[in-house]
Amino acid sequence: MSSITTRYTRQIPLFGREGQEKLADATVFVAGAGGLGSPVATYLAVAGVGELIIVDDDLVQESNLNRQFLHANLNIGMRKVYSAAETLAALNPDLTLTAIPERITPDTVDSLTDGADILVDATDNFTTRYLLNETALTTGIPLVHGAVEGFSGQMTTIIPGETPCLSCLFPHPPPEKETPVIGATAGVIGSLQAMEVIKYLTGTGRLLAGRLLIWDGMSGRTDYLSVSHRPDCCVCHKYTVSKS
Amino acid sequence: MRITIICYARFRDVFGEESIVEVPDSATILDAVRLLAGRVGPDADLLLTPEGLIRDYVMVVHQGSRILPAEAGTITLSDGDTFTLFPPVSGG
Repeated sequence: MSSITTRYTRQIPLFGREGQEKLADATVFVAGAGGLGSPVATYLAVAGVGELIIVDDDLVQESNLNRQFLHANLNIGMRKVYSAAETLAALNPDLTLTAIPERITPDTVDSLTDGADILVDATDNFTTRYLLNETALTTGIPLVHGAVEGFSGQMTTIIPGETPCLSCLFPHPPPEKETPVIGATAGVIGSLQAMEVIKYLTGTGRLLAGRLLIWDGMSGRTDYLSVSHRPDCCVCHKYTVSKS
Repeated sequence: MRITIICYARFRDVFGEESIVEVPDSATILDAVRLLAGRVGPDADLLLTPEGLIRDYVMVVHQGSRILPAEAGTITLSDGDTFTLFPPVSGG
């Protein structure tokens, strides 16, 4: 890792120099450079995560800019991952960033996630989410799930072999449609996802593993749902050995 | 029996944040959901199928545990119970 500079002096007391080195040695796969990907990648980059692999095949559009703060007006029309790379490099020059302007598919997901210590679901669709879920179960790499709509969001951390998988939680995807969302919602859920990654990598705190956080910003309610394996889950049943 | 139903996200927009429904003894979660849905007219289809069953993507949380829609007709309620209805979201 590069030398630990004064950049991290305010956070090293939280998990020690050893924790900081664990962040620097880590590779995090971020699926999506949009609303959730913006806070996830930003907070991981400035926290000193060594390498981010960011995958997104979209171009920056003006309608993204109410929430996707990795991008600015001057980036409209640019690949999101390259726009994100510019922003993140400016925030932390020590970051190694692999920007991949591709769609995640069954044929590519294994090679894209190869070498990652943890996966972050910052996507906008359940097709990709289920793909990441299967990859997590196949490889044993943890997956931090997040999703938002309007003033609401949800997140959980999936530890393969320990917690229920995403298909246990959501055996049926919600209807997919373009939904309204305000940037602060993605900011809340994306920040919580980044927090989960930092906790996992540094070995601090209690993960939201086996618990689904449900957040409603409009009413200020937060619920935690304890989730359990579904005996009839055809996905995790194929991969997990031990089940709680 | 008085049952409290808390709705999140777009369910809250349609059914209200916190609703009280009066149900007979030994009523189930499904019974209570049908009563709630019956208050809103055509928007009831956000929660219920045309057959009157809870849609398969709806998350029902009762006493901290997930109740699958298919199980909602078998979970009997007690006076004063609260449960939550949450529509999983998919945006990012």
